[in-house]
Amino acid sequence: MLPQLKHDLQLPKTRDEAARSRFAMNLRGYVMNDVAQMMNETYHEKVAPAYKRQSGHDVGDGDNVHDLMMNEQIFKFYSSIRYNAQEMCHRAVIPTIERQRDELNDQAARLSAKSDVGGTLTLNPDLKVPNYVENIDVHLMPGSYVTGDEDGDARAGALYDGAISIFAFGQMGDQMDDIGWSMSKYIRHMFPDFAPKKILDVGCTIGHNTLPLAQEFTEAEVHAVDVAAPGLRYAHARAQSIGVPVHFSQQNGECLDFEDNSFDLVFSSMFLHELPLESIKNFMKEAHRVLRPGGLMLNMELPPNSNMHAYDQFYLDWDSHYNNEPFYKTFRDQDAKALSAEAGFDAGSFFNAAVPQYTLVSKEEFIDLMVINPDAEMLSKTGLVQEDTCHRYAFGAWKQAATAQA
Amino acid sequence: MTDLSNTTRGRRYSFFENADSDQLLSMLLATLSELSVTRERLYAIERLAEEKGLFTSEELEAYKFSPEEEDALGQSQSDLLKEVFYPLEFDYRPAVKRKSNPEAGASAANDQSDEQAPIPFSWAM
Repeated sequence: MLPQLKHDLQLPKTRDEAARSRFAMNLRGYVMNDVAQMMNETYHEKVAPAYKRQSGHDVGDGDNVHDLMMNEQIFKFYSSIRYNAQEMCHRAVIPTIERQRDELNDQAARLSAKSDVGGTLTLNPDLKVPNYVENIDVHLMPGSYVTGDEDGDARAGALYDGAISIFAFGQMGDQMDDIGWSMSKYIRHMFPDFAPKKILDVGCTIGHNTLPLAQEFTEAEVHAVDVAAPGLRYAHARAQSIGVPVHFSQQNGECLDFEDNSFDLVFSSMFLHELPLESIKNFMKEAHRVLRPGGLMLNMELPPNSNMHAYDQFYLDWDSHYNNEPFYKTFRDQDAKALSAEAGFDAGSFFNAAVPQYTLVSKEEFIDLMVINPDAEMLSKTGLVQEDTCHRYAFGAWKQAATAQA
Repeated sequence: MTDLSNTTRGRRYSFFENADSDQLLSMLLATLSELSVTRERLYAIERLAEEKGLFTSEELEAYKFSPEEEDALGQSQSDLLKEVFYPLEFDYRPAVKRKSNPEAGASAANDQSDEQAPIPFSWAM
């Protein structure tokens, strides 16, 4: 069923627009399930055995698998269909937004002006948007997050929200916030004594995964930053509509405006893989700087290549080659523990996490399915779509003086 | 207010030996999308008609379009063709709209006009 955004920025689709969205969603479902399975079987039953027969050894890593699979017909069809489906996720929603752009921006302004929720929006027109956001149409989103950056324009946020609801084909929860809920509940379950009073979400886009942090940790003051103003306008209006107080501001995670030692939790989700390596390092240093001693950095991300089979490395790295995600593989090739230590975090407190999808399983299943020893089970669980859930990957580390909590 | 672009900057990827095959697959998928759109609308119309007792299938078959309806349907089909042949639109007609495309090249940068060169009419059937 085609997801309906459950807030007051939802734009009505015509019957034909809804039909195109449904087609894009089902095409993605078909290619990511059926065609992906055909490709998987082709590799394991034909390509890998043939390689071993000829070379005398197993295929090494994801790059080797990529080299072999590029010659396979099923890879070409998988890739071409998936590429088209990705384009269609965006192309299906753009006419809906453009047809109602004045209504959207007026509604965003109305919601932002509501005074009873308690959230705020602070934009910085002088902020230099980094090249890796401004000049790359990331995951084939036309115009990236910054198109139409005129005063009051929230369309790029609407584009992201509308497209991701099609893209997810039901895997991200009703409000596209499953990552935020899963990570919030993970923190609550694993660190029951940790009660953050001030939380920062960096690279928040439209704040869809920020809100669950504020909804779970209701005593906390929650801030969220991003470099793209259109997304932040939408994020603030969306949060106001849902009734969750969050303080959004336009800042670069590489050089935050916040004071030293001012947050208990610095969080990010699906953010680091969009950054060049130097920017990841800068962000982690900033996370360490703004955290109070005893504070936690938690990043939900794509699982590292070192913890995956060669075929799964190849499968996930598809985006880096063909989905305008140029830093995706570079990030996945990193050692997150080493990066965290380099930024000043206590290496002894570093942890990997494999977290089930909170909004898609029952509360009891969420606890049952949680991977207690992610280091041992990473290969068999993390990042893979399985019958009961898909375990999302995250890594975290504590700022010194708090290792006892971890 | 600037328009939201309907296409990404940079080149579209090809996966088959011959990029024409990628283009053809894109066109096929766009056709399937539009077929789905039509099927949904038709389904809704026929259910509504049946529920309200508005017309029979024989009357549907016998319906004749007015000249204005013919024109509107013609325009609709032109729009459909642009959608299905989107890969060609992307490659050959983006010059003005995608000036910011860093890979669009000199020919795109020099083409500042929306005007199209006249195309000979083909009389061959």
